[in-house]
Amino acid sequence: MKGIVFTEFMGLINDRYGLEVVQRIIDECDLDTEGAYTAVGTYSHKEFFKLLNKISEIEDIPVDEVLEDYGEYFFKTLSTSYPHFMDKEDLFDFLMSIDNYIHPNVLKLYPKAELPKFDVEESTDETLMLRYNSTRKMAHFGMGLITGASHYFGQKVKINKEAVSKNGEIVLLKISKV
Amino acid sequence: MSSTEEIILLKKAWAREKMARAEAEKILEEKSMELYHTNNQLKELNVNLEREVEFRIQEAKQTESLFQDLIGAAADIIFKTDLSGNFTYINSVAEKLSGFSQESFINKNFQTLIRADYKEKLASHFYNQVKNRAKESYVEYPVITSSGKTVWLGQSTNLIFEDGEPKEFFALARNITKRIETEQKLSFSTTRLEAIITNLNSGILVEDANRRISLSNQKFCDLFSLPFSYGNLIGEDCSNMADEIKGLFKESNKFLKRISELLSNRESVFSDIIYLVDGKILERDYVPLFSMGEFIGQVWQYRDVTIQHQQDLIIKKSEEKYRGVIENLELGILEVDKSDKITKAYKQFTKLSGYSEEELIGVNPSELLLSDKFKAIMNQQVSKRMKGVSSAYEVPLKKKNGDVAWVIISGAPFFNANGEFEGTMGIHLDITERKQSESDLIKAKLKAEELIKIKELFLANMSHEIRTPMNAIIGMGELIEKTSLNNDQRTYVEAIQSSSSHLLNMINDILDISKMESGKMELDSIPFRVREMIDRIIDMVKVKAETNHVEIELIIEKNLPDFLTGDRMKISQVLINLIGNAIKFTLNGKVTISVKCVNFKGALKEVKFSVKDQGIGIKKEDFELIFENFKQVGNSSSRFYGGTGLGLPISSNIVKLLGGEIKLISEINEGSEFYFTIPLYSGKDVENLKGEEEKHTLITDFKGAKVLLVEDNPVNSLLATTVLKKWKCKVTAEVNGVDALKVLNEHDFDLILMDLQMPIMGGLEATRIIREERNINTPIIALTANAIKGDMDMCLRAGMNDYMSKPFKQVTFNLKLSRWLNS
Repeated sequence: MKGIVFTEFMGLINDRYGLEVVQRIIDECDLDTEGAYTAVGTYSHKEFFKLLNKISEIEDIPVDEVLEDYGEYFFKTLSTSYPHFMDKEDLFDFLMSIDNYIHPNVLKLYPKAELPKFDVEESTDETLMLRYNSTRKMAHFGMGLITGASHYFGQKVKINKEAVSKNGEIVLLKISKV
Repeated sequence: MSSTEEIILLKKAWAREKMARAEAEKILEEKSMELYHTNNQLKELNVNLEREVEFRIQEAKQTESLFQDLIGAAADIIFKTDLSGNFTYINSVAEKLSGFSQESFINKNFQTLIRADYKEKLASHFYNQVKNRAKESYVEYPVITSSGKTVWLGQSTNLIFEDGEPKEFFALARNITKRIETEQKLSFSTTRLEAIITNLNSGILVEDANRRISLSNQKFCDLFSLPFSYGNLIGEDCSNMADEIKGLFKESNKFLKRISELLSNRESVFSDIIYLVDGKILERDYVPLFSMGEFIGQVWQYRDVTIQHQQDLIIKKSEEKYRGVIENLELGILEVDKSDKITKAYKQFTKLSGYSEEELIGVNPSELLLSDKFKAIMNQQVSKRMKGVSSAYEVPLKKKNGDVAWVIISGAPFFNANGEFEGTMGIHLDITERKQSESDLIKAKLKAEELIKIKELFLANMSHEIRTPMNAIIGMGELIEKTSLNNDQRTYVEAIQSSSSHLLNMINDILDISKMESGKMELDSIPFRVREMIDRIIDMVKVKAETNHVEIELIIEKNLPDFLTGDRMKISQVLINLIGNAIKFTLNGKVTISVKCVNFKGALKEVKFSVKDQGIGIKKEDFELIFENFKQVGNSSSRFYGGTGLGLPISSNIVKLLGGEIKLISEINEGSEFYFTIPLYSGKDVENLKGEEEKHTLITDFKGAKVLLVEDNPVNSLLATTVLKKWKCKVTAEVNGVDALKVLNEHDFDLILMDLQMPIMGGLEATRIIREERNINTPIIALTANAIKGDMDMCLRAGMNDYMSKPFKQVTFNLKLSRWLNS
């Protein structure tokens, strides 16, 4: 898992709960890296889930909610770091470009990256059906990212999980304009 | 949180940041080195690549220009289309071939060029190629040029793929019009040939040079009763075939020998006749096939000619039969053409004329064989024959040796198959001998007639010359008889008297015969008493009857009138003869004479005279003999019974003259009956008629009585009509029996006056029909010019009621009318 996921996650914990909580989860998680992450490095995803479950446990917030919150937070970082990916008309346009444009380009830079797929199942002017597919089972991270994107494009949307299968590996998301 | 705790936290965070930065710097260092190496490699690659690209471009340019040259120079059309068939490229050959400009093809669809009947086929061809993802295909099709002509193309089409999907077509099309046309012509002529052979009514076998069958038909299999269809024959080897089927032929070895003869000679032979065991007769043609002098096979043709052959046989037999008949007939036959030249002379004619056939052919038969006198007759006949009329005539032919042969020539025209006059056939029957005997006969006849005249003259003289001395002898004899004679002298005188009386009878008989033969005997018509006549005869034969111990019985029926009118002398003569004979041939018996009337219509009676004896009788086969002159039954009878043998013939002739016939009933040893029936007027009637005529007052009004007058002579008819009208009769006049019968169909009459001799139908026949078929009882009076007694008899027999001789006196006519119209 790319280092940026860890560095930004630590940034989120720090912003939301302070340095004390950052230190506490590092201490309690018994990490190989001892919590020292660089954005250009690559780390085991298991460490990320240890951190995620720990914060959920400490703060008594469901994992999904933490992930959604992180997704929305992470999008701000992405939009500022990679503004050329943001060059789209609106939210739906942007979302539809993920699989076709953004991820292929990410793979050029990081050939080993394991990226989720976002297939467009159905699209109208008002709604978009996206099929999330990833062994990481982090659909709620995706939902957070979409919320972040909707804020970026200034379009209010409602995101519903229409269906879930394979323990969350595949999730059908319905994004409706509000 | 205390500040200490805060410092510890910050220190820990700082340590983490240091660790992370160190790691990041290490990663960056590694990446930098990686980038550096990669960069170096890229720089090196770039240099090579530029060179490679340069080289490849160069290479591609060369290839392209080569292809361009090739495509430009190609005789074939090279083109590309997209999958829908729209042209994306085409070379200039297309323009030459199609007449459409090269530019105009681009974006035009391939299908627009295809001939209408092939569009669908091609569409499915290319659809399948794409569907089956076939890299290559070949198809031939017709296109229509700008001038409307059909050009055939043979096209190889490559399907071009991009990213594994079909993208476009690349095609090479060649002009194959000539080949297709040749193929079509060939196929047409082959099909036609096959159709002809298949449908021929004769069996065909075509072999190639190796004796393999290349063509045949069903008729062939049928003719030889082969149990399969002709398709099975194609490709078969014929070399053993003849041997295999030889059993079908009547003379199988001859058949095989002939086949091998034909095969080795290799010359066309037509109409060989072959006899099959099953009775069929085939006609075979053999034709060897050569191409540029080289043997390439042979044709056998078999025709079933069984029926024609049988007909030919029948015709031949019949021809032979008639030829035989003609040759054996003693008829000389000549065939002559339209220009009257001999074209054929049959054997019998050469025999007849003495000329050979070679001498006769081409010669005009009249010129050669006829004298000038008969040439004219001949020419007449020839012109008749030219018109198609057959004729027969007699002419004398000049034979080669100068003799004359009389022939009957019967000429008949003959015609060709189109019915046109072709010539004549003259049939000559040699009648020389007949002509000879004819002329002999004529001579003999003339001689005989002359002799008869001499005989008549002689007899006429005789009657006078002999009677005169006979009268003297008999007269003197009678005078001597009255003188006183001794017994001897008396005996002698009686002998002289008897002999001279016999001699006189003989002379009279002979004179009668000659009179009858010369037709000079005449009949009298005098009234007489029948009983008186017969009594006189009985007196005459009494002495003889007594000598023979014969009793004479006379029976005269009551119906017989006392008086009859006729030739008493002739009737007496016949009766004397018959009674004399009866007595002569009867010893110790009875002769019965009977007379009766058997028919009593009007004044005319039919009277039967009969003389019956109990003599020796006459054999049936002699019945006719006894009526012939100078013939007597049995050689000895003349000597025993005496007589000239002329009595019965004379009697018979006299009775015929009287209108009757002597008939005979006889049994050997039982006796004979001679009888005859003749018509006679009753004497009383004749006397009455004469008296009536004298005292008859003419009746001038018959009150419109309807009279049918049938008379062909216009003068007589007019005369009768005039008289009848004067007496107020209604007259219908007809000219013959047929017309009379017609008018009788529609009208009733009171009286019919009927002439006897008329054209078409005479009076006797008409009367018979009126009486027997029509059952009409109207009185019919005969009118005739022939005052012969026989006629009268015939009229009455036919059913007529009365008789009137022409020319008639008005008083007689009036009397007859009054009698038949009033009754």
